Amino acid sequence: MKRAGFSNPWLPVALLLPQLSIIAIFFYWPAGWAIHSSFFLQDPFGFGSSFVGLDNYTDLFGAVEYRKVAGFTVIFTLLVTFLSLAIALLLAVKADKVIRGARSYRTLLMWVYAIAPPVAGFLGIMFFQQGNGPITQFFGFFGWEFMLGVNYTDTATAMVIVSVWKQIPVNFIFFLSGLQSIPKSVQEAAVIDNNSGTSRFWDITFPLLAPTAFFLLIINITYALFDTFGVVDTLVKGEPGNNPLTLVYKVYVDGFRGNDLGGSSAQSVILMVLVLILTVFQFRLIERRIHYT
Amino acid sequence: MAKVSLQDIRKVYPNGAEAVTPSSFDIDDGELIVLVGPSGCGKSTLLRMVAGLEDITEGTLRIGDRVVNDVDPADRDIAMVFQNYALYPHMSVYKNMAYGLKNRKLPKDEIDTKVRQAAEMLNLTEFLERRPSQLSGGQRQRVAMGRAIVREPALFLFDEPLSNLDAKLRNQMRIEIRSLQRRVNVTSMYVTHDQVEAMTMADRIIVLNHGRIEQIGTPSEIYNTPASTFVASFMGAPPMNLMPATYDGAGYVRIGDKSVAVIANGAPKSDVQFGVRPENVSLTGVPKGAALPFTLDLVEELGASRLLHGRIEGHSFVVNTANTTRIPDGPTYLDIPAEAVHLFAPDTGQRLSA
Repeated sequence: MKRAGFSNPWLPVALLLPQLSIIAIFFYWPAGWAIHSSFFLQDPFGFGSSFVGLDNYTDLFGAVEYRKVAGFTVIFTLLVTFLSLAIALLLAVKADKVIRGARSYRTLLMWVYAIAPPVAGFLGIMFFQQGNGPITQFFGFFGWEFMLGVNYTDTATAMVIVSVWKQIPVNFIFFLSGLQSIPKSVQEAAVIDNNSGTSRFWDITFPLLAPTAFFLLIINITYALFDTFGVVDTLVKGEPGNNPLTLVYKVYVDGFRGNDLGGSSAQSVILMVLVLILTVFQFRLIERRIHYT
Repeated sequence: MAKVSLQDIRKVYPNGAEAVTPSSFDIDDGELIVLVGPSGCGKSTLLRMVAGLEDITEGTLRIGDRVVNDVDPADRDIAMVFQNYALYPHMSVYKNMAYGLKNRKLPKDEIDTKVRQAAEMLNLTEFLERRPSQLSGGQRQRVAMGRAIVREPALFLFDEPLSNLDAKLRNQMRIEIRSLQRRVNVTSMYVTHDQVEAMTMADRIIVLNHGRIEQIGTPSEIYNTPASTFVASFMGAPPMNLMPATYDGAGYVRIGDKSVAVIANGAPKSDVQFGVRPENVSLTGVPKGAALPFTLDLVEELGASRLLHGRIEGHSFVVNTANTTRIPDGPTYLDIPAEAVHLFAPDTGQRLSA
């Protein structure tokens, strides 16, 4: 077979250049800077910096505060990922069965997708507001005095709820299209083979959704780790003191509020490595098992 | 194994469309019934109602002695082979076949014996650990058959199982399915739009049109005495030649200014549809007796036979002759034996002659 090629060797380079320069300017360059500055201790007023080696990293791992934030981030990520996937799957399975008015239900369920994270956070503040927030009042009925921004667990709960709420539509869209791509006749063959709907779901539907679910798992972990910044920022704005933070938000707080650029850079390098490991792990280990075609 | 009986089974969709008009028939124990008709004639709907995949709007469905209208598909003691096989893509061939048995709480060793027996019968033993995606079309078809056989159901349902295969494989699988059905002797309902499949496989054929049963009969009854012009033109390739004519009430049909002798068993004088199968006429170069002049337009070579396309009295007419038949150089005439002529009512299309 003849391979298509370019007669001028510089043409492909020229075509790739815009994309490459964007990646270089907005990723490699800042990433390089972050790695570089993670080995330095910056003067808070920008008058210079001194090389401190791995001190920034050892300080981090020794800090109780950092470990606490890391622990919260893990729990937060697990909760957000699990809940948003599970609820979206449930909604998708139900929506898939709706025949009359299916389109309007789906559109309504997808709307939240159009809301930006900070706006979602702001809506969260209104809902969870002390005194007159509807959800706060609802919790009040059960004797739970909900205090957003004051009580650590309460703020964490609000963060999880808002983040999950924001992520459900994306998962819903993907799960629904995944469900609709399962051949109807396969479902019908299962109906003839098995009279229990629940066991049919776990034996047939769920395994066939696995490629979609795997893809969403990556998307959701990334979302919970990084994209929830806006939600966290709005919910804890001003009073990070006793409030739960995620690792990404701590990078921002330490770097731009605390003016500790070195420490903050070290944190972002750690996050970068984390993402790298996560990506390699997910693609190498899990994807291999979920291929049918 | 069981007798299946449908009594006034009717299907009306929520939008008011009547997919199947009240239809009744029985399937004898071990019989293979083929439902045939053009797309949209309701044959699949009928099959799916028997399977329990569609609700039955009205009527009574019995499998064995049990009324199963409201029984779950899994509890109807049926097995179905789908057009696109509908194998579970994430399961091995073995698990595909075992799945239905597992859900019926059969002991593991019994499942194993049954699956291996079926695999043996279908030459699938070496593929048991493969996934469906690693099999050819014919092999997938056999796995689908195997999945149905291991269930040892009272009734097999086939929904156009061969239409995804190429022509050669289709012929081979047709024979395999038929001989397998004979061997396991399970009552079967088979849906197809292919009249050759219907003719070759069926004990009895049911011809459907617009959700209505046109005729029920053995393949030879359907072919030799079609109940309507629809059946006459649907079954048989090339289809029966049909043209308007007048019956004189005394054993002759007039087409234009020519007459043809027919056996009409006392039908009254009337306008009719005159039908002759392309293979039942013979071509001559001599205008003897009642031979009709035939204007030859085109000859189609089919190998073993030849199709002659032409006209009689302005109506198009096809003749199927052996490839040894010599085509006369001059004017051609058709000799139509009286017993080859079918007469139908021009308005309803119902059969008039015996």
